[in-house]
Amino acid sequence: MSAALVKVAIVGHTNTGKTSLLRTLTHDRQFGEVADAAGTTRHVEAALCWLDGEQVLAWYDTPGLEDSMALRDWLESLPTTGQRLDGADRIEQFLRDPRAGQRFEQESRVLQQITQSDAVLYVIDVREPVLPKYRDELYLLNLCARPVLPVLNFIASSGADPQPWIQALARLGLHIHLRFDTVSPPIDGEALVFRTLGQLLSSQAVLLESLAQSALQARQQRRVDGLMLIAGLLVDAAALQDYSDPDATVLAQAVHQQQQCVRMAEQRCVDALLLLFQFGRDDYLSAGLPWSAGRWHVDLFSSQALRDVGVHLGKGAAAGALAGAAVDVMSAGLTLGTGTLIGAAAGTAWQGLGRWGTDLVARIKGQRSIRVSDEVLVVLALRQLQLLEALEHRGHAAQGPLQLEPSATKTTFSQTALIKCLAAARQHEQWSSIKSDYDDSQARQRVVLGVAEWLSDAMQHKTT
Amino acid sequence: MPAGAAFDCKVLILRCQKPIGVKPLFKHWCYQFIALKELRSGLFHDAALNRVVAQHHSEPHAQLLERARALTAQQNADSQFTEVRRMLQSTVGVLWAITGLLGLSVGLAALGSPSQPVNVIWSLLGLLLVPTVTLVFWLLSLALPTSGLPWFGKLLQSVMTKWLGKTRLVDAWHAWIELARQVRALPLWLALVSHVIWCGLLLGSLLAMAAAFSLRHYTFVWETTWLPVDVFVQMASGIGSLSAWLGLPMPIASDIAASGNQALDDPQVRMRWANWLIGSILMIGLVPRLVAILVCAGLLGRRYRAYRIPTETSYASAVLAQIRHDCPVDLHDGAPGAQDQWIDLQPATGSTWHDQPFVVVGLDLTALPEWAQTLPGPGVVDDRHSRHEVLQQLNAMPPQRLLVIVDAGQTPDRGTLSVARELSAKAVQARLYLQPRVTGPDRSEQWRLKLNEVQLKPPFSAHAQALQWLHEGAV
Repeated sequence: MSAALVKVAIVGHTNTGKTSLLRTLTHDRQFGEVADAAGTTRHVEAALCWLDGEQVLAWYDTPGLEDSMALRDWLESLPTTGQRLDGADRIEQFLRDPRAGQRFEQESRVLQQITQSDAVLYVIDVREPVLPKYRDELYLLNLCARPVLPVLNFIASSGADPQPWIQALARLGLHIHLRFDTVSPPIDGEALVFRTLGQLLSSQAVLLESLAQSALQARQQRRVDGLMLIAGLLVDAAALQDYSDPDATVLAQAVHQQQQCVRMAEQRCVDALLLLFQFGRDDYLSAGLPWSAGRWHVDLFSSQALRDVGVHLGKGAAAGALAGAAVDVMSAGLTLGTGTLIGAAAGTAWQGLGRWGTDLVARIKGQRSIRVSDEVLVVLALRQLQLLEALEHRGHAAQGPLQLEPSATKTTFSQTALIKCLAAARQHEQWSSIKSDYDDSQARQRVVLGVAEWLSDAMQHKTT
Repeated sequence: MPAGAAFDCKVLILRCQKPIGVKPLFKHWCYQFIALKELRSGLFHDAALNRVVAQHHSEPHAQLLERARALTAQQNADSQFTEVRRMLQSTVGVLWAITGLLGLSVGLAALGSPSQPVNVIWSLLGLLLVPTVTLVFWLLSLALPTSGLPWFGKLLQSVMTKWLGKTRLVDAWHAWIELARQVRALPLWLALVSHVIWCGLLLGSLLAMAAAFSLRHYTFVWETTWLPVDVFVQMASGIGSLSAWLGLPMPIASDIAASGNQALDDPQVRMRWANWLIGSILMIGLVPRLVAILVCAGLLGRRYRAYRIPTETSYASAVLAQIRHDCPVDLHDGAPGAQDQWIDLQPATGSTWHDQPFVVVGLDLTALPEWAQTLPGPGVVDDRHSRHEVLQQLNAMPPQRLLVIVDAGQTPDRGTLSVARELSAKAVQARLYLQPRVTGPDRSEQWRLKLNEVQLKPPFSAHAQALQWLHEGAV
């Protein structure tokens, strides 16, 4: 590791969420070990922060402090041997004493790490009352003479009462603190941590500001990528077109097959979103909402799904097996086909061989075209947006179920506007990547970008 | 000359399709190929590979490329890169040949039947209007990035997509396209292919014309209904001056004037007109396209050489995070020490506490619970001072029974447990009670485990039980 590495120790009483904090800050679900028990972390573990390919900051996760009262007793009972010992000297003496090291093994590691670090993050569980043993911990930190940033953890949990803590910290001269929750961290939590640390460690303010910027950019990039994934899914679903003979059983089978393809495409989008945020399918369990083990429970094509997102089936829509598939009747001559042919010819110079070929063949054979209906597109969009939002707010330390808000988006989500955005996709069946021979053209990219921008606006109007 | 020129063009074309050395391009292609697969079905995780990659390369983009290359080799997909490239080259070659043949017939058609004189202006327009207009559009589109993509290029892309879409090379093909898109080279590739194919067309017409002029007898004329002669003289001389660079004799002003609306049979004049036609097609049609090919190839080479993988995309960040996770961080911290050894407690030989047989003490509480506030006891032990005090008092007057009340929501830490043990040693019998919290976590299970570890009796879970024990002694 380079000499210029900024070292920050994360300390606190046992079981206050230090390892969870690091998991959330580093987006690493597998960092260290987390359990609701004392002494889970038993040695110091480091996690690195990178900027422009270089290691610039190291977080040190430490074992919890468990017996600060006794340690303080020990320090205060040190024989002075005729000289005045200040705080730092006492700590030094403690660290040199092997017997003390054995008795206070965990505390010794923590203090050793603190003396080698540039700053300290002191993690507090604000669900706990302010007890004297915590004051003793702060006393010990004070002795080490390092800038301390208290982190008020579990701020979003029931039973959290930060006020007594803020007062206690203020009495000790610690007026800058950070409010955090490792289960549902603030959306720009990383940037917040870096910036607040920069206020404390002014010598590294520039570096910490760069880290904050980098974290913000990464978060924005994740959102953009997520929206592009969802937009891609919507374009694929909108463009998808299958043909079938008009016979009822054959038609039903073709519809069923198309529905399967769309379900799988949705699942691929979900997996890609999880990858984007570095979560895994096995991280989540259902909580009464239609989501479990990385899959949606409620079938995309069921009327339940439509109801869940507040979409109402139009008049005359088919029920049962045909729900969610819009069936066109195509006959030779003046139909939707011809209309779009003319429009297409006027609009674009070259449609692609596929559309002309299969369209023509299907029309000659008197087949019906099957497409995904507008309602299902809306359901797709809303479900994925919900998931994206939940993932953005989800901390990597969370071990409980993922709660998806039953769409607060439906009221502000203009369904007709979305369908209009996807209108271009409806006309280009070769854009659907659900079929492997899809045409990944510039025009498709532009439409995907347009849909992604629209989704972004929809998300922001909801959140502001 | 034409045959030699055709051969040179083909070699040039093949060379242009490999603008830089294969290896860097191959690695970038591997990255896109693996990215496609991973974005579809999750990251591959090969911890040993990640460690090797991190050891040998320190820069993020180099790590990403090496990992992708190694994963491609693991999946035996290396050959797909060259397969797709060869298919591309052969498709372009076939298209080139087809348009060459087409050009032959176009060239002959432009000349028409030898019994009729060739209308030079009309033929030239027919041959060169479309190629020149599309070339101008392409030049404009370089300046303004619009949607006007070269037709032949798009044709090729859709043909290849259709052809490869259903084969196992579909991912390899999409990786090529995606790489071209990332390097912002896709329009240039499509333009290059377009130019090559137009070259084929023009070359074909040139060859046809050359053959026709060699083996058939043509006369040349220009026709007009209402334009003056001077216009044609100016136009033809102007166009001829371009071709004059080739060193071929061009029709002079008198030849041009004399050819109006009637064909001259003079062999010199006919040869000059033939040179004029061939020269114009060469200089206005073929040469600009060749220059465009060189320009495209040059730009492509530059773009590919200058390209670096963006490491801030979410996919790249996820891969880098995986690599870094697998690399051990150099940290000197010893193994955790042995767990604490708790020595056996010797209970006190009791008497009474201020004439009371039992005592209640709160440990690490903010206040005693209501039901315990009227019971005898020194109150709450929370800081060092109160601990010292209470232990001294209990030392002096050890009670028969001591109940220690702790917060069931707190994590039982070593410090609290050691104080609990110390307190327990000051009474004949000692038990703990876990006071539940109104809201917040409940850690009773942890308490039970820890108390068992430190050899204290299991705690009471209901305060009624605790009270009964205090008053009556046995439970």
